[in-house]
Amino acid sequence: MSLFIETAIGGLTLSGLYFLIAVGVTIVFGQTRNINFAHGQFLVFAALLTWEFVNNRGYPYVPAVILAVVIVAGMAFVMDALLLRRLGDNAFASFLVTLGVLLLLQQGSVEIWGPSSQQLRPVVIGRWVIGDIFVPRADVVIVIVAAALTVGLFTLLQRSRFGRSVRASAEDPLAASHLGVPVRRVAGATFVGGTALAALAGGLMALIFPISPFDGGFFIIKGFAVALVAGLGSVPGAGLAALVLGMSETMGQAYWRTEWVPAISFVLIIGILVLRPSGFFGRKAAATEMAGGFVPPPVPRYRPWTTVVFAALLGFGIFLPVAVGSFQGRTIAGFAALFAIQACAVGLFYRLTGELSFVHGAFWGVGAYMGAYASREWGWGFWTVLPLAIVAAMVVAFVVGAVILRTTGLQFLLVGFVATDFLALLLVNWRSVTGGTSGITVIESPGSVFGFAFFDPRELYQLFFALLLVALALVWWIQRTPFAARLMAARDNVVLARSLGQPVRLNKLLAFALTAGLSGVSGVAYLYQNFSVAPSLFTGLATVAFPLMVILGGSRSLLGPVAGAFVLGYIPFWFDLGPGPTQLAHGIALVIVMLLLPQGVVPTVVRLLNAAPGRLRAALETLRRTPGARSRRPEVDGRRYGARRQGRSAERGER
Amino acid sequence: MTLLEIRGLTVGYGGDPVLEDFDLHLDKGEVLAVLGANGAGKSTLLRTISGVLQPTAGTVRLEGESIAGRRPDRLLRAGVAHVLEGRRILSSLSVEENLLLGAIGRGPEVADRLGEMYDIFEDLKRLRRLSGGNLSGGQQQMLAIGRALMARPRVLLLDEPSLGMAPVIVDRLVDLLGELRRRFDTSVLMVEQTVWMALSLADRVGLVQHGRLVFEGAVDSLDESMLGDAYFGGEIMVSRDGP
Ligand SMILES: Nc1ncnc2c1ncn2[C@@H]1O[C@H](COP(=O)(O)OP(=O)(O)OP(=O)(O)O)[C@@H](O)[C@H]1O
Ligand SMILES: [Mg+2]
Repeated sequence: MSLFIETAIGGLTLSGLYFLIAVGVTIVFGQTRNINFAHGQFLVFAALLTWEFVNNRGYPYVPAVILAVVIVAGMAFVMDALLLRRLGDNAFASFLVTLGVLLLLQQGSVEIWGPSSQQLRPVVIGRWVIGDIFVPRADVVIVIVAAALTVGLFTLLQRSRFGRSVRASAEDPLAASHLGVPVRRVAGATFVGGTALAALAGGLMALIFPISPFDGGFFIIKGFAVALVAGLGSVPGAGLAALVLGMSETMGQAYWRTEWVPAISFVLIIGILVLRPSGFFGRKAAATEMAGGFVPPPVPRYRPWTTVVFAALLGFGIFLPVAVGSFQGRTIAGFAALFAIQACAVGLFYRLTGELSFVHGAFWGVGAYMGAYASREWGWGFWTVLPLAIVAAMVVAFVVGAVILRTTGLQFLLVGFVATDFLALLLVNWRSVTGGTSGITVIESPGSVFGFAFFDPRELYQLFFALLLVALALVWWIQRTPFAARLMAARDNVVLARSLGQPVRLNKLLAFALTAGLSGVSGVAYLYQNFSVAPSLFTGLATVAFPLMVILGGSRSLLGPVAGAFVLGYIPFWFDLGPGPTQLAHGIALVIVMLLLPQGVVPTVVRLLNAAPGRLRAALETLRRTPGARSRRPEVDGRRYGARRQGRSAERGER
Repeated sequence: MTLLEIRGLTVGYGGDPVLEDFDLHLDKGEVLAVLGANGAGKSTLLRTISGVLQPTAGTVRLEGESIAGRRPDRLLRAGVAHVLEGRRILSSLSVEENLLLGAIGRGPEVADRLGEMYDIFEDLKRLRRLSGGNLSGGQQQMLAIGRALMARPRVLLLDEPSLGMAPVIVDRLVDLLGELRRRFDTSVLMVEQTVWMALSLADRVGLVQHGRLVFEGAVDSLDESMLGDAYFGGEIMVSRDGP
């Protein structure tokens, strides 16, 4: 009995912390219809700041926490004013920018404090003993602060003018602004306030847990889980859901198997999706408002000259390792080529459905592990492993997709992220098959086929590049099938597609499984390039790079994901960066691309190339006519005008 | 004296302009009714005045000061309140909170105004603890108007106040609007489909057809055939008892 009560107290503590995390997620969503991926990382940052102030500078605990909260709130303010405000209503771009901020913040923390966990000097020590029950004082402090904040927050929301404004603009921003609510400023204040609550949770958490810079992903998953289960936008719901999650995790820890405890949030999310996709307290509308990702305008049709340039680039691709020279550069080429296959899969699914998938990273992992298992247990070689991995990835995708494709838009993206993390947990815990944390090592090469040998990095690269070309041809072909046309029609107007009797969900599921097959190919290639697989490669955050490649390169273009994979693959090589700074570079790239080239690199290049001959000709004409040939001017203008018009209609030409 | 003046206004939603070279003015203390068929651009006019849409050309002036493109919340502070088409009552707020949200000013002042609103709209007082979403359509319209008046606007923009209401309720509404006119120093620009209601309240009328003002003048100078044309030649009920 005393164990039960002690556990319950621990559960209450954890619930309080989860509530403080989730409430920010949920009220910010109410205002902006968006989610801050960096939310959990802000918590971690605040915890680390608290640790720095208390342990290294000798500040007392309370001022340290206050200072940490103020600093983090200031950072949130800057992030809102400088980044999010600029992106306005584009929830999708804003979301990706917050992802970039997460990467920056995480790596920034590592640069400042190093990668290891930090433990706060004991400041609230001892425990009360009541009979045979021990109550840690730190837990009591956390519960009291969390409870006080909960009451304060409810009062603020229910009784104050600010609270009325928050509720009003969550429901109907246009009506609210006509009643004098400065909607954008209220959203900004909510963002800063919500982040400050997470920061406070971080300061409190430092009392009882060690904190590492890499915990940000972990905490945001808790925040998502609570907010999704409650129903996005619902504050009382978040309270209840936090209690459910905190209690069940603590009880699970005490009475069940510790290693499966992180799965509880995943199970809760999946459970709620099956039972009630809008969450227990969510308005149905809130869930549907998240529907449909942001689909950028189509890429302009290539003009002949542009096609020539791109074909030449692809042709050059085969010789890349020769051109790069060093051993390391060649190895990177191999990784880039196989990442490109995976990015093609994510990109194709995005173009077909408008959904950005974070869960294809899991299918990539399934392919890699299936290959590793077949190779280790049954001694299969590359060419037999490959089809097996494709099938395995497709089957898993079919099952997973049947559940998670009930969601769309941001919600789909979040659930995909959480599902990928769940797979990583599975890989850690299912030791007999997966080899646990150390993974599986396979020192083998694809051997030789038809007289082609694939042993050294250059040959491996060429194999993967050939696979990439096959994948590209396949993607190109799939996009032209009637199946794809139906999917894209449904992407642009679901209601219409449904009313025409199309099995939208089933078609999506097929596309999901199909693209997962490509992920399987990429996974096997990864295994043979890397010689080993380990769970840490397949977490949600580790596989974020794939959607990132797609966005960076240009999500609507066939070659965009390929360009994204090569650029992201080579950034560390060119600039000689370690893995940490690489992540920093990814974060910066993501933020910059979303702000400056929201359509990605390839469409921008295509546009420039398409216009290049016209510009060149115009420049030449200007040069020629400069020596005083005034009478010819109208003709020249006419021609230039014609060239520009052609360019426009070519842009409009494509679907 | 001219309170609100619109000149050469051109505005649209990205494609062809909905209103083109549009002129209109609202004098202090008057009620101006703008009539026109569905899709003529009446709501677009109000949206542009209240700052939801940015005009591509032309000016909107409030007592000589340009207000085009100011956001709705700032415009409300400048004295222009807009009761949106379809009422848009907030159901996550109670009736009283809906009213309070619309208020601008300090505590005691706001309390006074709330009392005043409850004087006029007795239903709302009775229902003040209810969620705004639970009111009937007519009650919601009263709430929408009361909520806008909480800011003590100089200009009240009303978009189809009679929309979806039974004739009896429309009668009530006419009475109420008449009373509001007597009590507050508010000029009203209203857009209406129920012509008899508009004509019984208005001092002047404007007729919009395909985004252009085809008539503007005193109510009695309005030619019925013109009205018919504006509505694509339909029979128009000018008074409650028939034409
Ligand atoms: N958000 C929008 N985007 C694009 N076009 C719009 C939008 N809102 C209105 N329109 C178009 O502008 C024109 C005028 O619309 P408006 O709402 O001003 O008409 P209205 O006169 O108020 O009609 P009603 O009496 O039906 O309310 C219509 O052709 C309509 O299709
Ligand atoms: Mg209208």
